[in-house]
Amino acid sequence: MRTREYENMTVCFQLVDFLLQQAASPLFSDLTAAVDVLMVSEASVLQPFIEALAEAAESPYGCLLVGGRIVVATDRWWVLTARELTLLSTLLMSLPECSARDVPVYLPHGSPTVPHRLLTFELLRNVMACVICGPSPPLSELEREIGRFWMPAVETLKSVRKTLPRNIPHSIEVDANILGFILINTSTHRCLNSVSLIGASGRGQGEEQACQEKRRAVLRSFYTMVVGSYFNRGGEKSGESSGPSELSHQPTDTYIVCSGHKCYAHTSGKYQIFVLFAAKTPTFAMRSVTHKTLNLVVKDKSSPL
Amino acid sequence: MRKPRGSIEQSRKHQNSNQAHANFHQTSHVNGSLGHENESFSSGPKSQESAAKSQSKNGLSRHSKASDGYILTENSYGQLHLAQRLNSSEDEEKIKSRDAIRQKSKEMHQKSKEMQQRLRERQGGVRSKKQSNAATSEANSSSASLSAPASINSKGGKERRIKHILLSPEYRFLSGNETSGVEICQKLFGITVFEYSNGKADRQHVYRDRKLVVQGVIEGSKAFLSGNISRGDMLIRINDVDVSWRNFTQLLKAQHKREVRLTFQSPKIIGPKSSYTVLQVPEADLCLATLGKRLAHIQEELIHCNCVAMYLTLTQATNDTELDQMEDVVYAFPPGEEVLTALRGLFITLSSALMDVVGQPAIRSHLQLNNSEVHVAYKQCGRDVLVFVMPGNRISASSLENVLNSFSSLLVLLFGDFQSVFQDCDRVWLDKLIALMFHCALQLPSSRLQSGLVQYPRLASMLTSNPYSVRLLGLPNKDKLLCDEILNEFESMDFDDYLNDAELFLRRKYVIRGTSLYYKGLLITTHLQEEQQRDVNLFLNCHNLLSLSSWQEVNQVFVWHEFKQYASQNTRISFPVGYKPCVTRSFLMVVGLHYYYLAVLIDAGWSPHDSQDQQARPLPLLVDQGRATLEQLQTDEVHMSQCCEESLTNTNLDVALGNPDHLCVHHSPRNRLASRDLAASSKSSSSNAKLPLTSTKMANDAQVFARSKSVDRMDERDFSSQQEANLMMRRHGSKHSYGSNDSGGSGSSGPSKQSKGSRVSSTTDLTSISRSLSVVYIDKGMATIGRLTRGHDNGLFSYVHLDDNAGILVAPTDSQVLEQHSGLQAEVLDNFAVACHRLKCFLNFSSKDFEDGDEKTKATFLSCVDRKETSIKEAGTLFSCSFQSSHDKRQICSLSYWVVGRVVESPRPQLLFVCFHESADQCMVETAFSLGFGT
Repeated sequence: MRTREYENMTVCFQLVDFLLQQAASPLFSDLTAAVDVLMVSEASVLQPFIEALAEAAESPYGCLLVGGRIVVATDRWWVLTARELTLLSTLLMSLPECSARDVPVYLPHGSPTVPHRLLTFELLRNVMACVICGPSPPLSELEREIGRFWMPAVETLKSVRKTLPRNIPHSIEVDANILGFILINTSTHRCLNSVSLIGASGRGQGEEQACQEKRRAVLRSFYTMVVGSYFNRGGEKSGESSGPSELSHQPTDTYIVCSGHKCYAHTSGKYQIFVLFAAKTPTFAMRSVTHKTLNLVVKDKSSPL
Repeated sequence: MRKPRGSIEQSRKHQNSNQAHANFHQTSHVNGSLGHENESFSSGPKSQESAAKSQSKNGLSRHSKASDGYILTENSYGQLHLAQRLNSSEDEEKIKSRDAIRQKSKEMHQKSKEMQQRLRERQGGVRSKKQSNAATSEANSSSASLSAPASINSKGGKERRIKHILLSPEYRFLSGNETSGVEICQKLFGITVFEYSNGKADRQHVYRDRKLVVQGVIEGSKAFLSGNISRGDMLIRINDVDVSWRNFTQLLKAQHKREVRLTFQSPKIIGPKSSYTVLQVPEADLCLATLGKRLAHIQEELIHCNCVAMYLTLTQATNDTELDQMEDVVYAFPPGEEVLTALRGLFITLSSALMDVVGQPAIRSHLQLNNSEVHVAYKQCGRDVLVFVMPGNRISASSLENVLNSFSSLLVLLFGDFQSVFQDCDRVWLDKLIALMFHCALQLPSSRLQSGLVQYPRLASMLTSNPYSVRLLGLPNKDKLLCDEILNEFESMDFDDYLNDAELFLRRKYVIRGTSLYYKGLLITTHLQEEQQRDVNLFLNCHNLLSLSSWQEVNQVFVWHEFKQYASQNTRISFPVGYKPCVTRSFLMVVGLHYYYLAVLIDAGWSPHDSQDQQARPLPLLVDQGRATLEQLQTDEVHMSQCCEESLTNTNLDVALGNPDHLCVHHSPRNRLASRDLAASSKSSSSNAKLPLTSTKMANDAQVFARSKSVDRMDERDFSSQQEANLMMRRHGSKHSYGSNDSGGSGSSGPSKQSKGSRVSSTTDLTSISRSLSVVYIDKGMATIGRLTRGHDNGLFSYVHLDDNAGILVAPTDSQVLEQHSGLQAEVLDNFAVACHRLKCFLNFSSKDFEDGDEKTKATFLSCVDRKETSIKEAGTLFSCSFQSSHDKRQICSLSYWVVGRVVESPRPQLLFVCFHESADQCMVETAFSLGFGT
């Protein structure tokens, strides 16, 4: 009996390891309770492809992930709750790379008792298409179709993959002082973030990596500092006395100045933006730069938020 | 009266024999103070708890069973208490010495220590053979005590400390018609012997064979100068003739020689190295004076709301056979608490297990107790742990931690050693202190809280949350300078005129380190170093003395307490070989007069050959001079109270703060969203912002309330302005009479002469600083928006300047708030207070508030990245609110303002919180920051 349960648990080991190392994860979804998305200009091109795949799988749920971030997904995929969305992308990130897999999943809200099949196909390195479907079709059958479905989109996928460290298209130019940001839509539970807006200029790979990790850590801690004390956590009503409800007026902006960096957070409507600035940025400029950046990203046609 | 005593002795003997093996902790203050009400023998945790409890309130708990009805009927226990103590002196001696030996036997392992002890005892033996005998017998018995504790009792009783003192009697003081020996003794030697009879002759024969005990030594007498006679000493021989009450008077009358040899026997003192501690408060009860409640009342309240303070130990004090249930509780308050006391095993286990497992002490935990949350805070020291438990609905866990931390640092400050406090310390005082701190921390309703002091609770609570700081009273420079001058005069200790010849040429024992002056709980000025000022603040805050002075005159308050931490600090510094520094002890003296406190930090130098038991008493001269200094503030020429009241109530003196009402943006719902994006939209707002507005219904109420308040205030101010006019006249008069430019100011109790000329114009100059500041704003600001200027369109709403040393400056002051009576402003200020509290946590500033060990627990911004790089220097939040205008329902008003906190590193760490309108120009804000917003 015990061995069987142990066997059942072995499936989760990867996930547990991943959760334990979450601070090192490039995603913010665990922190923000919003699923990481990628902002690409080719989204409209890719939308029919994923819908076709979902249709072939006789399922309304299908999405395309690049580097763990959702690029496009079917409408029904977006209907999944924030928790399901983040759990799914966390699970997919935790699993080892393979060309195709079939994993049973329980959706906490949609079907907490009946397992569904999560089928994933690696189209290119770091590019993954996945569908959630019922008992049919079998994985092998769908896998044979994959090449036919996605061959025309290979070039598009390759260009999409190029946005990966930046996470927003190169066409969108943000202020040079911005080192990184998190932009959250609290109503759709999507989160766009980036810590490498400026290309690695002359620095080594490792150095750049360390730099990004540090920025990510700073942003993470800034987020934890602000959310819960000034901003409401996305979606949930804070009943604590120490939360933002203690304040009689609504905080809209907040910033901190450290010797190494500056951070600015702004909330307006459903959007929350957390920006990491270089230390040389003038404090008074942060407000307008942040507002501009928010508008720039949100108002863009290709905005995934 | 005699019959009960017989029974007392019987039962006591019975008790003693019963407790021959018992772990009998005993705290005794044989050398307790005169004005000290806490003379108590609190029996150890072993003896009947309930009985001890009921009696400890009366300061008597030593012979718990025995004293039924006899002592308790007497309220003025001071006299009778002592009588009873002497009555049982023989037994006590045994217990004390046994206790001492038991303690000694614990130290037996430390060989070096024992060697020192023996060495000292042998040195003593040179002086007196008898003593050396006692010493060796003691040493023998202590070595034997390991195996046979019972045998000590018989031997230990013999241990005595004998001292011989040669005094030349002052025969000239004798008038010849003295009747009692007590009177003669007082006149001849300046020694006051305790009189048992208390005027009742019929009782006298009872006391015939009692000891002659020194009650006090008259200051300045020969005996005092010898420095060897202390309170509690027993006079046993005069010129080697045994003396008792029977022959006392005759013996003294027979003295004619130039020198008389007095032999004293000093009692063995158990407990802390007695330092002479005085805490005089109105009504002689700290709790009653500050809270208007008796200790028992507070205890009941605290039991009701699940509060307890416990000092728990894991070390088994002795290998006693009879194990008691409560042995691990060294100290518990409130005494009747049972639910949480029963859980102490949990606390002990948790704290010690954590220490063993993760190597870090437990800090706090949460309990669910009868469906209510309870916070627990721990303070580990060795194998012992101090636990504070408070209900979660009344206090947050972090503030509970702060309470515990401040309490423990106060104990360290006062006693140097945290651990010994609970075993040796005066429990009544400790009870009261904890009761006070709990009461304040939980914000229980106090009957003393009067309606006249309705403050903005958030702002107030934010400031009182740190026991190390006090609020600063923003006095105009002229007045502050005057206070400084007066304090300087006192600090110079130029008292030669007031000293008699004998004292004049004595080496000065006391040196003033620094002073600080408070008015109505607000700091006026300080001449102390930052650390010391913080400690003094801590002491005053923990004893609630500052808030006491804010509503009543504190003429009776007098505090004299040793700061043992300072002494131990000195010893920690390693000195070059061969140099032995003079032992210095530091004392805090607080003198209260009217609404003032003068806190004086005094260093007392002790030369090594002075006996260690020597008590450092408050020097009457110093006390008198302290009072005189405060009285000096009240003279017609200075009338500092007027100035203080003025700056407390007057709203025009400070940098005028803006009223948020005037800066609201009015717009119809249509363009509401559009204008939100426009940051500078408020530029046009002030022109159409003339409409008075109220935000919510609550604000409306607040406004009405505030208005009624302000009417009262106005009357008061009219009155005070009339007074002011009178005083101006008087001051003119005084200028003519004292007009000469006299700078020598050694007459410290006389009127201060050097200040008059400059003070005449002070009322008109009061605003000079603030004005000059506003000029800066006008110059810089007018060109753009002109926001941070004086007047109603000012963009600066509020500021708080936190400086541990100089105190906290808050603007607007309470009276200003009351004056401006706007619901919106109240909301803004309220919000400001909360935001400040948040920012303060972020700003890491408070890391200095506690010892290094607790620094880790502070909200550090980022742990994984280099800490230095991520310490926050500035943090700000933009708040916005919008509400319907009361006049035009379609109009929506909105207001956005920044709350910014900034750490100023140099010249000393300070914290500045500012609240200003969003339209304020950045360069203006920077200028204002660099000027400290007029602070």
